[in-house]
Amino acid sequence: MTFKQNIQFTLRIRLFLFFIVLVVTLLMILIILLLATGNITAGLKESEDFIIKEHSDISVHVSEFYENLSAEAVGLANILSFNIEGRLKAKGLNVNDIKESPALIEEILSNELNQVLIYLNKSKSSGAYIILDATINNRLPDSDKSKAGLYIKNMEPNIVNSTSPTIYMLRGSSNIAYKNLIPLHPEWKMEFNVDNAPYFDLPTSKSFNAKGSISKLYYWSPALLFPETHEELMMCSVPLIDSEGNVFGVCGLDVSSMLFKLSFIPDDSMYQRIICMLTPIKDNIIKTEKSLFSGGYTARTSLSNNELNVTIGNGNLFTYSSEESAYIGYHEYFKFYPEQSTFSNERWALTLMIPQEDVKNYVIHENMKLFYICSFFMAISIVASLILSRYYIKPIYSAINTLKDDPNNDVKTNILEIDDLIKYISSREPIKKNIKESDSNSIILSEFLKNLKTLSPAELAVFNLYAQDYCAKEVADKLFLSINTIKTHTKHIYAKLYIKSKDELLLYVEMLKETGKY
Amino acid sequence: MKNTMDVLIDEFNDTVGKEKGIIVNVTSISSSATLQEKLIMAANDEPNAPELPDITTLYPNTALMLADKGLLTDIENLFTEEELSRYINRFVEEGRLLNDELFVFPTAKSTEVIFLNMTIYNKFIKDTDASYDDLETFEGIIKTAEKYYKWTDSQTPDIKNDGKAFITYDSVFNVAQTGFQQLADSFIINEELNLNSPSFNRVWNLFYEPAVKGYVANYNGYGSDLMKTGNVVASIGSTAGILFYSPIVTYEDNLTEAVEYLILPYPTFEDGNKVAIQRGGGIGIIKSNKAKENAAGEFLKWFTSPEQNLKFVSSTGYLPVTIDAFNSVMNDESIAKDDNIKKLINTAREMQEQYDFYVPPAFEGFEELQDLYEKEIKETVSLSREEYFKLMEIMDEANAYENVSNGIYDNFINNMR
Repeated sequence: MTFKQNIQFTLRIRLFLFFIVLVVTLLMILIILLLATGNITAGLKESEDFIIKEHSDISVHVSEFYENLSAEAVGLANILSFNIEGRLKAKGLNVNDIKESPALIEEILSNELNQVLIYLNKSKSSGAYIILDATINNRLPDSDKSKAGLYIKNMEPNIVNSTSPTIYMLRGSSNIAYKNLIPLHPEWKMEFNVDNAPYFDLPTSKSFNAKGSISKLYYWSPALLFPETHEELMMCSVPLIDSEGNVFGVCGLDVSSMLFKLSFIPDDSMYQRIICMLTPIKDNIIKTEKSLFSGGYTARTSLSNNELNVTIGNGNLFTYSSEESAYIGYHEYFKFYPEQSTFSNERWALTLMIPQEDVKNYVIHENMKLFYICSFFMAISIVASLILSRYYIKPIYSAINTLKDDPNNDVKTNILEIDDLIKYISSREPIKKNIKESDSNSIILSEFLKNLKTLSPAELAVFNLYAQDYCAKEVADKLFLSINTIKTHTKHIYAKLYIKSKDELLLYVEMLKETGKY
Repeated sequence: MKNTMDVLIDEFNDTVGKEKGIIVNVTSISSSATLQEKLIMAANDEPNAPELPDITTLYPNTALMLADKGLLTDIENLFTEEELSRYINRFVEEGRLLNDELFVFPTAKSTEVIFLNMTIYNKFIKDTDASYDDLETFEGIIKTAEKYYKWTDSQTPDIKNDGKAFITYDSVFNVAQTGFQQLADSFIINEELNLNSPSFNRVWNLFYEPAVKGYVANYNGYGSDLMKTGNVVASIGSTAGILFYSPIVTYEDNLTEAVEYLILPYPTFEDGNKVAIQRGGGIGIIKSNKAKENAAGEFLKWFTSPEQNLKFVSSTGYLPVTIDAFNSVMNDESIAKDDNIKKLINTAREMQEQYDFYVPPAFEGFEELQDLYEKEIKETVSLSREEYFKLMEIMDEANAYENVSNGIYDNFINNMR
């Protein structure tokens, strides 16, 4: 057994619902169009464009900077090799004598300090060094790993045009420092410890008996913590070679982590935690401990001693992930060496990346913007639907109310169809009413006439005089009866005719007169 | 300090900054001298000057110049009275400039102490009648320095006059300023040196004679450099120099020796009051907009909160700036593991209780006055010393000194006028 309930809605609600359906349909069409055109993932596309453009901008600067530094380091090596060989020759010695004559070392280094300072200054690097393959005291334990030299640090290479650059001696003779008023670095030592020092071992071993251009022999070390210091840096080492091909040390320039950080600050207007990283890359693995970073976000705390796996991500971007964290970004191989270089098989990458959660948040944020715009549009549409439906239905309600009050009123709604309807209703209403009214009046009057016939002649005489609007006293005078008798007759008349007053009596008389029945 | 600052800023960005939507971007890291130079250039709108940052470390003299141009925010507006009361009052007061507005918020405060290479000193006192008590007064130090010179000279009997200096002053100017204060006098009056005061002769004698004779090193760099190579045994310098005192002394032949330091309170004149200098800078906030100024205030509150402050103290040698940090400093783990910092803070606390602190005046031209004094007195000593050594070849020590020092003091006073 089923019950069917007829739900009735007002015209206004029907109209409102109609508008809502229209708005929702339009919105759906809009969303479908956005999906179809790919605009719904605007955040992701925008991120990709931003990362690639920013990478390209930074890449230009980093390349220029490192190319310049490599060239300057080679220049320093050329001039030092030439100078040292020349000075030794003047004494009747050659570079192989340095090892045997430690007394020469301080003089050689003292003579070359100026060149080191010139190259440090003009290369805008954070440090310049000479490491001679010799020690001043070979009687000390581990003296084979101790090498004499000079390492001058510029603690603020990022400051351009400083009249008082902050220069410190990190390695070298204190006498040279005192004489030249160069303060000693807090972690100063007299000599270099070259135990496990690729920046010394690789260029010297690969250049053994090398002849010709040393521009193919410079070597960039990955980022490292310089032994027995807190200095995190990359070093560009070039062998010192005399005209006979004898390698007697290295010299070079460095890039400290601070210099890199302050020189290559990526644009953080879109992503505050954007990181730039220069790093060796092998088999799609980046070892972050060997990288230099820049960016406002402290990559060092979250990435230090980590390996990042590089995989292809969305669009042209890559994903860099470790066990703890994941990043989205872009990298290109970075060219440190010319094709003919001894170290040209080493691969480096300049990477620009952003924590994955930040990219996700950005995309969500951008899509939420779209959602808010749609929601706002929806809310506006609902309000508009409400107002429009009210406004639209208002003349109809008004017309209905007017008609209720006065069925004969000629109401106009200015809505053609409704006005036609009202006109039609108006034309039918009076007929019905007249018919109804005449039917009921004739019944009442017939009843009255029937009752009238039940009056006695004396009562009828009194009735007739009342019908002529005489008052009770006048009726008594006319009929020469006492007023009490008239009152008795009146009482009987009212009872027989089912009326309560003279006015009612007169109303019936009037109606009878109108119908011609009296 | 640069790494400490950088690491702390990174930590702020990763924690509180991330929470509150504040990122502190480091735009420049440099020595105080370069920084002041750049700030002055920026404030004067000089060509090629860097843009003024939102927040910077600075010294009162630079702050005064920036405040004069209306470029600094009154930091007091960013702190409640209760918050400010947590800081050591005299540090806060030092940052009030112009109309008592707080333009330099204390972060890197220091005083001066004696750094002593205890390992070498112990060997020395074993052979002589020198003692640790001698190091309490300037007079005692000069006497000890003479003894040390003679003791080292006697190590190589075949070489005459090759004794070693005992001590060096990082700033002869600060020794003079503090010495005057100890004698209840002022080294600088109306932005000029008080050359007519008898106190001037007292502070002159702390340097000229012992430096000419080689007891005190006349060196243009920091004493810590000479201590690294064992060229001096003691140095009077800023507490902030502690990290430059290497636990290893490297001699000329690259032989090394592990050494231990003792950090002693600032010496006083025998008849003087216990006064030491209070130095150092702080952080200033450049006027920008409310949001940035408030963000800078948030960073300052975090950076100077006891926990961060102690990290900064343990890796720089600056003094704690909050009362809580000063009181809890010895219980702090990072402090406890560094022996030198522990000794330093102990001495600073002792001085905090027993000493009055002198804050050098802040005025334009202060740095120039300091540089001029240092340069003149060191050059004078250098020339005298050269002559003194020459004369020693033909006369005894006393006569040689008498000859070189004759009229030098008056000449110096006249030159400085």
